[in-house]
Amino acid sequence: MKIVTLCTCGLGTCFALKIKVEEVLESLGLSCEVLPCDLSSGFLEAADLYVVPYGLDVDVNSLGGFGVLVIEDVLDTEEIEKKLQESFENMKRSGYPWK
Amino acid sequence: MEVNWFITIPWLPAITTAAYLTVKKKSPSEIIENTVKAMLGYYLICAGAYLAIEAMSPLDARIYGATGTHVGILNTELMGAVLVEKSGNAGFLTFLLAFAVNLLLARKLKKGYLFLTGHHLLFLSLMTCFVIREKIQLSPLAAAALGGMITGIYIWFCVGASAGCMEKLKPGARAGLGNSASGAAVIGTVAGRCFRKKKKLEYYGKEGRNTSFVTSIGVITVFVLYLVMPGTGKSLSEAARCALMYGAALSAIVYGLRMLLGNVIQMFWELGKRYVPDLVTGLDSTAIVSYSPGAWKAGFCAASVTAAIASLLLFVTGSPFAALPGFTSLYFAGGVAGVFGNMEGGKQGAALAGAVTGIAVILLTSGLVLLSGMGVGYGMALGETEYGILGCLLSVVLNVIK
Repeated sequence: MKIVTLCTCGLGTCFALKIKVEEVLESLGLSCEVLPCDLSSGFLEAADLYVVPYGLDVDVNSLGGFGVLVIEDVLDTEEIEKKLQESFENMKRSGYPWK
Repeated sequence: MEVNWFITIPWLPAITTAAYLTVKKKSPSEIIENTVKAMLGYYLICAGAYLAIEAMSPLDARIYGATGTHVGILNTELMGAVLVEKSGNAGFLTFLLAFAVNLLLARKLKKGYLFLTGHHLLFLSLMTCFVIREKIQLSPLAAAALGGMITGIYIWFCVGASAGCMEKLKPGARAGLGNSASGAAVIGTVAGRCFRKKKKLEYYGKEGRNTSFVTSIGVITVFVLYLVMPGTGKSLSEAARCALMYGAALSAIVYGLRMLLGNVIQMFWELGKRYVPDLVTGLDSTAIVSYSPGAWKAGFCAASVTAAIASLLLFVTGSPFAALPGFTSLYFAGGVAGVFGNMEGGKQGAALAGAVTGIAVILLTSGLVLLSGMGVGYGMALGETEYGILGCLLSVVLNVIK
């Protein structure tokens, strides 16, 4: 499974999000590829899940994958964990092909 | 700035990446792939630098010919890429040393301020190294050591100053800004307080979104500059060619930075978490856009207007150098100021904060170039507040010492 974290230029906040997401995945006992990217080229990564900070203009439909997680507070690990878990459960329920 | 004692192959980024991945017990194929990627990233940045110079130096030459004023569009990534290309492994060494000094201060002083935005730390380090070598002609190794120390101390203060502002935005956040707009955070907080005594303040909430098309705004800006500035040929085809080369340069540089710094930034975060008790992370600016996107936009717009006016005034007064409003840099600096200005003084605070920041960025950057000579003739300059603050201070101090 591939998760891509996005921010405006793909250099700063997306790295912070990537590290937070990886912390959460480790605590859940999961292993996924997590990559940072800029907003305008995110769709090229063809990710299963996109994670983006609230407040940035994202065309959700153009990104593809299973969905987009909008994080209100990039410093809040609990919020990231809760939203990731919800997404994984939705993926399983909908029969999304994830590994 | 010549670096003739290092060969130009980026072996230091390669060794750093390989060492980190070896410690993380990654497979040999992962180590080799990521090490090669780091080196390719370095050359991608250099390619972007050449393209940027090709796109922007004619603009400077034409305007200088017509007005006697050199210009530089504010774009940290483009000017930073030129510094990367010119400094090679010595620049990367400065960057590593700066982080090491910051880590040491964060650990020993029990104020765990750690600057964790890789590309801005890299560019700050390179700028410091450049100014040192220009002013006091140290050897590359000595300049790297001194530059690393100065930058490491400075960024500790930057995160600390902005962490104080962040504490009000989100109490208990244990975060500051590590993106070269800490100055904008302080300006925003101070400017916002001008309206604190007003009885009825209207604040920006969490509504709204901000544009992601920052690169496109920059491309359009360059296109317009090539058509309207004095001395330019007013040729549509040239304007389009240079504007698109500018955009391509920026895209290549951003991608190259991700390849060069991806594993290094991860390593910095892990070192911070392991060795700094009471860690206060210095984050990139878009970490705070979610608090009030409307205020961010207001700050950006206000900064853009006043930056354009400040730039025009520099021309009118015959300044030898005038920074041109590069909207990528103003997006981040103005946006940050707007969020903190809104926090203290509502919508009016956001607007004033952005306006003051726009003027500050233009004047500080122009001051940096005039005092240090950095980037004259390239048509671009480092943006945001921290480069100007540190660069000007350092240039003045070294001029006195010389």
